[in-house]
Amino acid sequence: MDRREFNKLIAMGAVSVTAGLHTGKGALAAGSLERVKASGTLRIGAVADGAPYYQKMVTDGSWRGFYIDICKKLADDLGVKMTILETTWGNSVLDLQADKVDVFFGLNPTPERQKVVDFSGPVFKNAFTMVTKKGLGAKTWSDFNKPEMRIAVDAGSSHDAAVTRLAPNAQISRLKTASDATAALQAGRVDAQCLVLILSLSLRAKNAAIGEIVMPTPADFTTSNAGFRREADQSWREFVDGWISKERDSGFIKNAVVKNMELVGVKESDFPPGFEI
Amino acid sequence: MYEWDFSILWGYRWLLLQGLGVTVAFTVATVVGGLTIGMTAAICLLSRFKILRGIALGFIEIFRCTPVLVQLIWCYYALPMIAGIEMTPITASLLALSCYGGSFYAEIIRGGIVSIDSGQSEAASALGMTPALAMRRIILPQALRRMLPALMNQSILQFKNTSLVSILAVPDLVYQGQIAAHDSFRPLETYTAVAVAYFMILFPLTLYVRHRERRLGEAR
Repeated sequence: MDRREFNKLIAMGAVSVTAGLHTGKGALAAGSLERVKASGTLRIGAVADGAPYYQKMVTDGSWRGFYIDICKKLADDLGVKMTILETTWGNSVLDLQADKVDVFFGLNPTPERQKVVDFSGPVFKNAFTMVTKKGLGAKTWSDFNKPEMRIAVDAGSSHDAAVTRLAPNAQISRLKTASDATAALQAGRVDAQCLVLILSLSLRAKNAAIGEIVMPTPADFTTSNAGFRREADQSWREFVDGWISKERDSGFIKNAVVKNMELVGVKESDFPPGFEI
Repeated sequence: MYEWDFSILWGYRWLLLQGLGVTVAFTVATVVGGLTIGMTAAICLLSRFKILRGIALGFIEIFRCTPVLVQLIWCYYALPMIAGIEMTPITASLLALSCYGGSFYAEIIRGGIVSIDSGQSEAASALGMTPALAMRRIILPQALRRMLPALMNQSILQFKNTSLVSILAVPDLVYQGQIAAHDSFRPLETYTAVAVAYFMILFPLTLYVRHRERRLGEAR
């Protein structure tokens, strides 16, 4: 191959790469509602170890969890098939931005996230709780907001934000994952771990020796919402948002949550009195 | 005092074995892919054409001087956004790890080739061999023997680098280990088992590399 021939090859390569660029842009332009209907598939993200939200069964690789049930119903109502992309909590916003999924359930609309993705209204309400070592005796947020109190959270989560806001005087250990924070509690390195109620109930059901669940007063709540890729055409977000309100009113969402909590060993009677999902 | 209980791992044996299979398959695929890329890049580095040398050098330095974790995320998330190339997590991981490994292999291969005395290629061309033939028949066979320990060493690193694909939820041994750890609330036992599995595969390999190095030293 002489040099002229070679240069021609390089030029051809450059042309084909540019052509590739164009097809990519075209795919992103259409609204998600249109895309879901046209392709006949609803693409959701799910976290393998996200029980009871999402759980991939260790034995046969099948999925369960209340968000799986909720998404299945959404797909059925749309008359499309559901495909599941296995992902992690940390990558979920990126999955939306990179057009890997159409919707991701289980995100709290923090101000930082709201800058980059859109959100539905609340799917359900979740209270912040503390899993404490036995006999700690703290009952209120001001009990926890003391310099000698050691609290573990998973860094960057809603738990982290809640403890930073409500107990800034405590010694806060920010660990990589919630299970690292649980390990710190088990090892006696901290006095308490902050978890939302759904997760603290599941944790205690799995390991009763872990300690006690306290819902510090005054009760503080967060919400679990669905996230969407930011796009000019809002029809997809509006559609799913309307669907969520309808299914909240019909009781379907509450049933899905309660039913899946039973799968991890939590009964409806275990929920603190007066707590509404 | 922590009570160790390794018996819980039995329930996750298939999960962990599957993970090990994925890890080994990824290593084999990215070593083969990396060697192919590395060999191509090394030949380009030694080419007469300036443009080829420039491309190869740019490629090698980009992949050698950035963290492989960032490359993985970039291949999977950023490529679709800017270039419209849609990839599964597995394809993206294979691409990133092969390019990353390839950039290191390229330097090893280039070093191996230039370490062969230039008299060898002069003698080959005196016998009427074309440069390509001389490379294939005379230079590479000698160079490859010299590179082998370094290539093996890089491949061992490659094996451990596959653990990073868990960031894209590719079900390798580390990812499955995380799942088992969260599921069982026994992270210490699970991660210990994962480390033992890596060690059992890599230790015989490192022994082999050491053995080769010693033989090479004697041959010289």
